[in-house]
Amino acid sequence: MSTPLTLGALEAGPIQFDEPVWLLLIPVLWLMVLVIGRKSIAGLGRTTRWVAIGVRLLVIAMIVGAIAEPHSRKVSESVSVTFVVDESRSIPSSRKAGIDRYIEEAVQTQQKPGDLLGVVTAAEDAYVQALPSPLVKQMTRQYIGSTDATNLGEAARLGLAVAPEDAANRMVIISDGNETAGSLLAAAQAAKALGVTIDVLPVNYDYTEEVIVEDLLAPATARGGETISLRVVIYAMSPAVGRLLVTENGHPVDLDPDSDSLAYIVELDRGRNVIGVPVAPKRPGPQTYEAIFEPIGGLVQGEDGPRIVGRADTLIENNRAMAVTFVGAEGFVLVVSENADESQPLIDAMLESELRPELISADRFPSTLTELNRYEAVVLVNEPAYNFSAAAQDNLRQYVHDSGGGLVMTGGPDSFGAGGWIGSALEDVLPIRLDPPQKRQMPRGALALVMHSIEMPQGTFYGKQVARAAVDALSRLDLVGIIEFNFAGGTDWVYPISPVGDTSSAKRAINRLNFGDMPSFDPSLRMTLRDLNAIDAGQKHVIVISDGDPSLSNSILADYKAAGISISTVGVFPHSTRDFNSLRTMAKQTGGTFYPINTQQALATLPQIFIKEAQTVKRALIWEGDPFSPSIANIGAETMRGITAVPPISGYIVTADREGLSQVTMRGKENDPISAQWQYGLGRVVAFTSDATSRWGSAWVSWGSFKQFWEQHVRWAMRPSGSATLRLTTETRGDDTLVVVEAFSSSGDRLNFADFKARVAKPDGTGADVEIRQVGPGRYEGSLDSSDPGSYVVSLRYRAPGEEAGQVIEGSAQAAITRPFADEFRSLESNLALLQQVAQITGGRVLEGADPVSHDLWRREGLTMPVATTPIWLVVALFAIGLFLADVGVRRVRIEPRAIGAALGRALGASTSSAGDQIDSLKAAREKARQRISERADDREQATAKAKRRFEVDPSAHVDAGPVALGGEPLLKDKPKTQAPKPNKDDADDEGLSRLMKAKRRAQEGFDD
Amino acid sequence: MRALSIARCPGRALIGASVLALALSACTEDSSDGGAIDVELTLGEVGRAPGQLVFPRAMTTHDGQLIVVDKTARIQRLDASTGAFIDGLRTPELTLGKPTGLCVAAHPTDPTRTALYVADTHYHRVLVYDLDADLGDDPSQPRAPMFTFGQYGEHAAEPGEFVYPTDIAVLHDGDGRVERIYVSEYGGNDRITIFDVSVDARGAPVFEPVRTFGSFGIAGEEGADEILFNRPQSLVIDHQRKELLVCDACNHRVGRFTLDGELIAWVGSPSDLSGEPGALRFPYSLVLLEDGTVLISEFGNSRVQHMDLRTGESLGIYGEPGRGPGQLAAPWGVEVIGATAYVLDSGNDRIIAFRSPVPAAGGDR
Repeated sequence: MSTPLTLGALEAGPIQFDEPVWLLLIPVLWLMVLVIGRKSIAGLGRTTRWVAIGVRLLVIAMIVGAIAEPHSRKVSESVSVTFVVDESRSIPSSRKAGIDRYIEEAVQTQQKPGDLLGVVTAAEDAYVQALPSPLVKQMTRQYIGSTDATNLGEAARLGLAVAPEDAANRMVIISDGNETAGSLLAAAQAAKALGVTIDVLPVNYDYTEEVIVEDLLAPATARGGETISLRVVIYAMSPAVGRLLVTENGHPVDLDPDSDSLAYIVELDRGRNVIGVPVAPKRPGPQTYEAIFEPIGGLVQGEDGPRIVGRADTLIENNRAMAVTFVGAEGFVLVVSENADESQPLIDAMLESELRPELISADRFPSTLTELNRYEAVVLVNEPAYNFSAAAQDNLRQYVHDSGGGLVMTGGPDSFGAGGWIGSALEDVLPIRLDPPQKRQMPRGALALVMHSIEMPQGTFYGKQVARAAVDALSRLDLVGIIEFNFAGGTDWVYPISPVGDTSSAKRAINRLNFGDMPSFDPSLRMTLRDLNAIDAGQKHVIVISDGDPSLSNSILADYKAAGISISTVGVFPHSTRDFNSLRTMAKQTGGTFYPINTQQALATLPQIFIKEAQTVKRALIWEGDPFSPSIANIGAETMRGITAVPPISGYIVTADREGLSQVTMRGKENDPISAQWQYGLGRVVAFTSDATSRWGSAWVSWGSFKQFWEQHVRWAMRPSGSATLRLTTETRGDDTLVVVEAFSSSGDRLNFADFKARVAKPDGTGADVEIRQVGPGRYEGSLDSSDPGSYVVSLRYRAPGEEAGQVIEGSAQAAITRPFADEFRSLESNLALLQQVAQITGGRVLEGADPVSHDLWRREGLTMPVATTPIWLVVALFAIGLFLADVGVRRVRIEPRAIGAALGRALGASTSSAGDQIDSLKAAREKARQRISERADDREQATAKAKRRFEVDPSAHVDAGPVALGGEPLLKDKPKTQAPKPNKDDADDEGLSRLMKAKRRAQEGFDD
Repeated sequence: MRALSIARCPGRALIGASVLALALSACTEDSSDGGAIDVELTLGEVGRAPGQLVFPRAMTTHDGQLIVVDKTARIQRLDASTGAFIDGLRTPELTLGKPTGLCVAAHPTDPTRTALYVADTHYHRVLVYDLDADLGDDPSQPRAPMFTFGQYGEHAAEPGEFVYPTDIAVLHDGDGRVERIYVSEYGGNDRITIFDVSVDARGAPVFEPVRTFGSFGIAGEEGADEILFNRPQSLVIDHQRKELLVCDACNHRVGRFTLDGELIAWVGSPSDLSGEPGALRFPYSLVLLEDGTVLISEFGNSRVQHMDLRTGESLGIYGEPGRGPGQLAAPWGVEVIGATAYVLDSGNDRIIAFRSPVPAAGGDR
């Protein structure tokens, strides 16, 4: 394939041709016109001929010009300046007023009324504070978001995105240049490509009085009862004094038992100081230590000893550090259950098996992965998904996959698919599929979401999030519909009630939601009722989310009640809590639940509410019937050792087999899995879809092998502790952390050739493999990226050959790394180099001082003014057509100004005369015309005679035919011969006539011959 | 022969060509039959700087200028021909919600002065500002009103108590003195309250509720002699015909009432949400024209409809839903100054001006 030959656009003054190659036709066609025209219009007079040729050339030029895609060019005169203002916490707050003043003063230097100002703020996220506009005259801040990080790159890109196309754009970045995320340099390249120059105004600072707690060093592992030594590394820019406080799992450690105070008073020298703190961990599991330095003041050596002066510290955010030590914790199992009676048989079985179960309800579930790692397995007893926050679910997933913890999930009416786990973070962790295939699914449910506007910052974000959560919680054959008020079509389905399927089309519809402000609930509730009534579903349910102010008629609620459709309502940030009345009524009268959301804290529970409510339609996944004994499917499994038959059950949650390495050990009706297990990442998971209580398993509790069954299952899932001794240390080097493992066998010899499988669980919820290599006898090392602030948990599993042939040593170990504060607070000076580079890339300036007048930000130099083009081919073509007709006119129509004047005069005269006058004048005109005709006849005779005599027309002759103007009496073809001498040879009209004469003469000559 | 004479005459040819050009290039659609509005002017843009708007929700006019309140609770006076900011203020409180109704009328006690009545919807009251004074050069600065009246009252509350007041209309006597004030409200108490204004011993106005009419309900469910409203969103007084016009928004109709609250007629068809001419969908505001017809902004149909309320006949449709030029997104208000109509294109954060089919009714303040 060859690309067609193209030329760039051709600019000619205010006109631009997009396809200038066509213009080449002009000279060719002109040449043709000249050649052909010489012949065809040779009969015309000289001037007429040149005018005619000129017009034709012009017509051709215009038609070809029209083909060449002409555009009129309008060069913009406006300059738009977008300020990207760094609002992160590294910018001293004392500077902010100065920045605001700078922008306000800079606006005074705008040169034209059309000059624009826009504002984008940069922190963890970038936000547009004001779109570029001539009306914006000052810095504005509306919503800035978290200020714990700086993403200048994102802000610069946002600035480019809002840059108006019809103005020349300049960006001014006001920042210290310390970016902690994104890449400003990459954004600068994008700006360069778009022709946007970036000026930078560095915010300079240099903290001279600053104390940073750089690190808290603690051993990664310790034995119970051992005293460990913590080391606090504190860096001071100048000598200082302050209090040092250390906490263990959030409780202060008394560092100074002799005094009432819990803290040490420490004196810091300039530079790095290391302070040792001995502590004795009281309980097993991971211990989180935090060291906090509280500055008292700077220290100056005076004549009579040191004196405290000044404040010594500027940023307090960087005055803390954390560390974690794992203290051996064997046999700890966390049992999560809402009902102690339900979990009691399990707890008893575990206690009898010398495990150490700890019972909690879901609301006390550990909030961090580190806390969770205190346990070697977690047992969820009939727990629904909505009892766990998304973060807790993620932690649990990481706990299994990356930390090697065990998970046992037992059934009940609120568990598995009926407990909203479909679509949750844990779904993939389980060895069974929660969403059974069509053949096993009982009557499907139908859920309709009625979405009203959510008037709060990021309301749209939350609205979409909850809708997605609800859709995810449904199984693929359930029906879902989403309705909202849309300005373009009133109340309508964004997603008409239809099967969830793979959720992708429902989620696309959710992305399109615009959360219109519906004045009344009635149209949406009526439409929902009508469509829910028209479908076949077991359970029908509606969720309404609103601020509660649309109006509602009670009659519709009676219709819902009659149809057996429940409505649950979620009231979000109402204008007044009184607005909740209609939502409360709606739920009460139809048998739904009302959830008031009035605080930011409650807001976080929104997705849980939606998942829980979506479960209303999911009861179909529960099988209940006559008791039967599940069949044992895999007798060789470790968990089923010694168990050949199990007692009957009367209910379970319907699930399906999962592809892969999952092992189903028991099956129920139609081969549904009852019990299954597998290895997931580093951890092991057991799923038991019936329950361990008298509800569905009354015969189980009294079963002789009940203890054996559960001990084998829990112990199989638990993280193995192993017989080797590992000493783990971590060392942070810049953005990376080095993990060092020293391994000893139980007899104290160095352990070689061990095969380590290690994962790190990162603070953002993701995990990564860590490669651990042997670097010396019994010594292994690996490295991981630890650049984000937060806690990292490294988990290791190993297999090594034992001392005796065929013996295998297995085990696991863990270590934690913490980065307590954002990098935002690590920088002690501004990063001028980056800012300079950005200015250089885009051809901008590094602005010095704070004088906006001299900076002249709206100056035109260095900017390319954008050009707006409008296609004008139609206009050009129409003019060409007009001109073409004029060309014909030039040659065919005689225009005589005098005659036009006379005609106009007559016309004006006539308009003033009366009707009688008009008739008289008509008569006179008729008489005059008759006279003229007879005169012409005489003239013709004379002219013929003359022609015969001279055989040529007198070029100076003209027709005295009275005024013939445009639209007047057409000239006759056989015009009488000329009579009077013509004063001007160049008269175009006479040229035309003389041509006629010549033609006639030629004809007569031919005749005479 | 005729064609020949045109061909011979370049003047006519040019005129013909230009007619052809117009036919080819210009949109020949008559904008009064729906479709995008033939825009004369677009005023305002999104933002919080003076002259910018964030979802404006009510508009009125005074002295050839526009007064607009938006979702930042800023009331701004704008030049109707340029959109330039003249002056403005913010209502004293805004966390619970922002005003949704504005009305310019005589000062409650002094017919020589002009006042701005603001329905401070979510604070259950009416604010009265002095419109002869400068409102202020920073519209984000809160300013206290001259007077307020109304307070919160639950359902079936006493007259003079409001749930959510939406709009105000003021009846003037022949001398331009305030005779009565009408306030509409929604929130379960959907009704209209009529206030008499008198002056107390200290010269301050006293707003005395004299009667209310209407109650919450769905159109079609009313009994004989019952007036049901479902969010009466705006009020206009036709001084010439002595009528009170009410946009009964969620019942999709406009009511004509005597000045004492007797129903004359309902216009619109609550059950027809088809969007056909003559049908209304969430009519949020209307403005009276010289010939007694009205322009109605339809929040639900995103358009302005020209209607004759005496016959219910639709005389024209202006606008269609959308974000483009001449398109509307959930318009909350419409006003006319001279021969120019202004529609408050709330969802697009702007005001669109177009040629009104009939000039504004005269004599209004």
